[in-house]
Amino acid sequence: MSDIGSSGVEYTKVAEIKGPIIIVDGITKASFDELVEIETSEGEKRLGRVLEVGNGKAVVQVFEGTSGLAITGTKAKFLGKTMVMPVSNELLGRVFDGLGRPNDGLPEPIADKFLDVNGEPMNPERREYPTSFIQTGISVIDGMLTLVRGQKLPIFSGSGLPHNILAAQIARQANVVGTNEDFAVVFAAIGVQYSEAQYFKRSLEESGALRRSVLFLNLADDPAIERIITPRVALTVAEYLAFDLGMHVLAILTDMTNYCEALREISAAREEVPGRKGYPGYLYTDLANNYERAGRIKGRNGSVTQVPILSMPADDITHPIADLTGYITEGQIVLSRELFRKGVYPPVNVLMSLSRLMKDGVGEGKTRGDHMEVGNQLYDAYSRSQEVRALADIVGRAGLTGVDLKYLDVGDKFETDYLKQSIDENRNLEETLTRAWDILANLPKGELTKIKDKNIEQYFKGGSKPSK
Amino acid sequence: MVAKGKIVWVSGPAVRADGMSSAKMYETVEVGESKLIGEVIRLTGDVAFIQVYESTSGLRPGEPVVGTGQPLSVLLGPGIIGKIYDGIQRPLEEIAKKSGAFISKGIATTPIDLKKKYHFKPTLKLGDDVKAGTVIGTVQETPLLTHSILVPPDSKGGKVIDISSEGDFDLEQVISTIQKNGTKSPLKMYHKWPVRKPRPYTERFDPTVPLITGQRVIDTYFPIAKGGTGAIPGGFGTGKTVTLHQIAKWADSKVVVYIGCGERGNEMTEVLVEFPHLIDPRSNRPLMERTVLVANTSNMPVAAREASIYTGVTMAEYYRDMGMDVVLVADSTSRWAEALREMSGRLEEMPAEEGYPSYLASRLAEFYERAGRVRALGSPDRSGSVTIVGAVSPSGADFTEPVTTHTIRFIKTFWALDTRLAYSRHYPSINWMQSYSGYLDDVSKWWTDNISPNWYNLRAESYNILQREDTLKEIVRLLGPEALPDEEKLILEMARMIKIGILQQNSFDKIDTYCGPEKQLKLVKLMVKFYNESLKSLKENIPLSDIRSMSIIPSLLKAKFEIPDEQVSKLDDLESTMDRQFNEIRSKKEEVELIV
Amino acid sequence: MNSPTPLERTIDQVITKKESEILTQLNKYYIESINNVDSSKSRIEGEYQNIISNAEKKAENLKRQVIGSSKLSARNKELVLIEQAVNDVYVKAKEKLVSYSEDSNYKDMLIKILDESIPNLGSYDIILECLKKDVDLFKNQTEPLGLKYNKKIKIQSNLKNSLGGFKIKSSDGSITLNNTLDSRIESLKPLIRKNIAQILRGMVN
Repeated sequence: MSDIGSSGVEYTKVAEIKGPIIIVDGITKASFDELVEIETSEGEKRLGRVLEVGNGKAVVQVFEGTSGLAITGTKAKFLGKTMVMPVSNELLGRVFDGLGRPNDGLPEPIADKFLDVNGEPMNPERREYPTSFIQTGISVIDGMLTLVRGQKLPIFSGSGLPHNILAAQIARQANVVGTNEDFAVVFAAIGVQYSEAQYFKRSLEESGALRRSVLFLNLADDPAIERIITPRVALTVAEYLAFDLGMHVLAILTDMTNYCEALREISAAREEVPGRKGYPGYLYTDLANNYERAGRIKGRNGSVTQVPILSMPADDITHPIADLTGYITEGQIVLSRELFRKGVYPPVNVLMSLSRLMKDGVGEGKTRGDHMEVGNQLYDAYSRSQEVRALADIVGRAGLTGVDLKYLDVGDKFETDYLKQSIDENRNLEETLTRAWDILANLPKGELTKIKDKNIEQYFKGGSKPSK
Repeated sequence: MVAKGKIVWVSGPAVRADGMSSAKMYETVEVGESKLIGEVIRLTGDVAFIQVYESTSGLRPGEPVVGTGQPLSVLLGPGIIGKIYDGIQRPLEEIAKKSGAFISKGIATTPIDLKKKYHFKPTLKLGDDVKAGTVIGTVQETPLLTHSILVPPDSKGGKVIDISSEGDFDLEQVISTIQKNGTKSPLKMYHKWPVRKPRPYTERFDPTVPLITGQRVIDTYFPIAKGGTGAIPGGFGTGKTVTLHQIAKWADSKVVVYIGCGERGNEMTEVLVEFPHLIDPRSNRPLMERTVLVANTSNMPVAAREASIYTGVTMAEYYRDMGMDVVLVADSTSRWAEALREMSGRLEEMPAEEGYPSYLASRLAEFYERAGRVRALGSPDRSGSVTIVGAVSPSGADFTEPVTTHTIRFIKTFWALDTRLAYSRHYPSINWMQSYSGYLDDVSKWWTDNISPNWYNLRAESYNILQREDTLKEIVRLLGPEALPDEEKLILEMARMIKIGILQQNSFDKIDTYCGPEKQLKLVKLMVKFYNESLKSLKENIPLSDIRSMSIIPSLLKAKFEIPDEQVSKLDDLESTMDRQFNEIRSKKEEVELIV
Repeated sequence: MNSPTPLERTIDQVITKKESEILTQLNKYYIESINNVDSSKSRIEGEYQNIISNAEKKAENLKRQVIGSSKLSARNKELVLIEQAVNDVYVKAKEKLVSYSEDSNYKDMLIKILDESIPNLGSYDIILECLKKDVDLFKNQTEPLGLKYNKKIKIQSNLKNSLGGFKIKSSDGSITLNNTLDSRIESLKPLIRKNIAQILRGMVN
């Protein structure tokens, strides 16, 4: 049977329904990963896909959940294809649901192509190594955790922390200095509250970027299993915009924790041997299949830069979701509840944060020769200040040496004059670096062990006395 | 007879097929209409359990499965170096030519270019008696690398009845024929070898020569020997990959096999971009001319990840058999173990700890056991080595998890990466109290003979300072540094200097990225001398603050990146400056005393 | 002249001291007030500047927002128009297909599809549903195909509200293959829409 235009085989023998899964019996033709249309006895249609097939049975996960399905009267039509997303440039400015169906009252997009939502692994040999600095206008990111085009840099957050505000600020302000290329934002809301998704949409609207954006919304009260597809359709569109249309795409996925929970639910229903905290053993691979859909391709214009957001249960960075994410992504921006309480925005815990690709995106010819060294020195100074702060809490200031006291001061200044900035403040890199040197000026010159002498001579504004 | 069966069940990378009674264990099979590559990993009756090395999306029961009669093998011959392969030795460049920037399934490729001509120089002559492993002749594989053509290790040997004279041949041409008991065996410049079977050798030696990596904390404090084994466990962000890249870049081996096993795509790209431009400090040739990459990134099919380390180690053994020192770097063995776990789960095997199969430990042991320094089969007499360095990615940076604990049992050098050090940007974040090397005594002779007879003592003295600081830290945490006597404050100061000036090494700095053994020794010597002089000064009642404000200190700390290897004698100048400054503070002290 | 009494002298001293104290105080207040005026002036200026620049920023934002959303809504209207046009064409095309169902190619295709469909049904007894007008067409096929696949095919002419084609079912109704023209067209709809849109756009441009 020719695949295109075949309307699939329909089965009515449902052997079992458990959790988000139905098992269909008497299967004569079904393939792994095949898309399934399920019809309830009331005529309601739902989508699902094959997780396992063999010996006359097919295990099907139902995206909209199984509530209301019955053993008798349920029809399952196997559609003879895997799940695809219709893509074209008219997706820009549109809003879709978590499965990629229109959610804005407008018609189904007319496709240029139909792409498998699972994507295919990018050939490492054809990747272009990311090296273009993206200026976000946020000092702590630009100066110390530089984002580059094609990077995947997640925000590790906790409930109630302003991760979405930060992501929205990045989306509004991000640009590559000195270029005026096509950009686009792909936003996937995965099980987040209506108000959060709305905040993001409004923020894009206000900056006039909505018509350069594609939104996928699976909200907190939408079906949970749908979330397994939401990042996939979003990234399929991101890849298309980037590599077919040559745009620079910023993909924001929030909140990946909800995604992982949906995955756990499926795994539990299949009675798989669980890994840590009940999450399936293949969580790493599954997450990687999403996160690795970022990057650049040799000889093509566009790029996919990913900023996934995840809330760490109990702010625990060793929780499997954060842990495995950190192993896949190219660094992480960690938000701190303590700084948030102190009223610092963005409350970035610099010491736990990292951008692995910073080294490749900054320096002479890209940003400024002292960029990396200043970032490292500032990091070092802040790290030392935190140690001193902890020590001062125990032994009091009297137990500290003179240099230690200076570090204490530098730590405070770092938080107020560098880290802290307002939601609509867009600092250029020059200003960020100037602020950094202003803070380092409070240290004796001899303490600047991470900076080459020539850069110290050029930029250092403090006294020249070595440490005492 | 090849097996021909039908798929009866599909779940992710796992497929069951019936009608497979003539299939052999670990046989390679073609799965489905698109001929995906798979391997038989269990046989029950006529049902074969197959792990498929490509995406099975769209695969359906009823599709055919055809055996190849061959176990999963690699093709070994000139043309391997400089390539990037996937987990089953398919060249990614060829795949890209056929399917573009994204990897489609069902793509058939040849691992090495069989049509490429090489200039062959025979080393055998007619009538020679040859054994398995004997060198037939050589070809120049890269400007850096003379490739020996070997009689396959599973050959029965025989007499040379035909040998080509010097000239250009492609890989499909027969270059020699040997005969034994009337059976003629034609030999080409390549042969096949099954990846799961270690290549044989004549004899194994103890490793005694250090692998110089140019990384101070490794070479000086926790060395690994050529033919040895080491593991780098560390949580995310601790710089595992950077450390492994450093070893791959600067290790003084002839060949480097780098296996990216379930890791980031961009990291492999980074190697591909960087290595052709990096120059080997010893040969002055691009590093890519000695490197092979096996890339099975985290988003590539999970079963091929399982195979990738065997593919890599078999290629490493092949170059070892030519008499070369080979370093194999595997990043990360944890992702390999996870692939094992996933397949085991789909096989519905009884899980052991954290869902890993009970044979995890034995598989790890088998893998690390393929390291070693050996005398190769056949003639001429030659020895080579495979050094294995494996990264471990413990979940939650918890070193008590199964992959880490089992790995520790089979390796001799342990570089423990420390999240706390990484958070304070101390890189490489190798924790000097937790790490150890079982090769310290083995390699000290080499250092004594080649660099300095004082190596062992200098190392011990400087390490002693770090150990003392570690105990003092507890007191400081409670009472503050000012509560300590000056001599102990000096220890804190010295430890800080050793950490900044020696242990920390910036792999992104042009000069600091590689530090030769001589420079390493001199830096350590300077630190130890500074300590001894300071201690002497303190005993002469010179205040610690005078020592702390010596202008030599920043110079000592920056020497690692301000003074390149070629100008290592500048470190001697630094030593004279240091002597002078100590004399100055002493004479100042005397002046003060005179006035008083 | 009488020299002042000690009391007078003391009073005098106190007065002088107070006087100078008051003077310094006054002076201080004066300077402070000047400073205050200065600083509040600059503060007011700063705030004024702030308000202006905020307003400018807001105006700029508003401008971007207005331009952005009006472009977007114009585009969206276009999408709706295209959709209507595409649907009109689609419906007409479907009507035309009825006449196509008399074509001999079409018949050959139906038989080919039937041939491919039968093995997907598990049961021995098979029910084939088709339009009354097609019964003869399928009747000729049931025997050879039944023999080929070892099935027993029963034809029912109860297919209604359909353009043509057929449905086959296993006897217990647990497996159905819907090969009516309607369902095949429906599953092709995204592709057909793409083609129609391309043609329409080509006509516009």
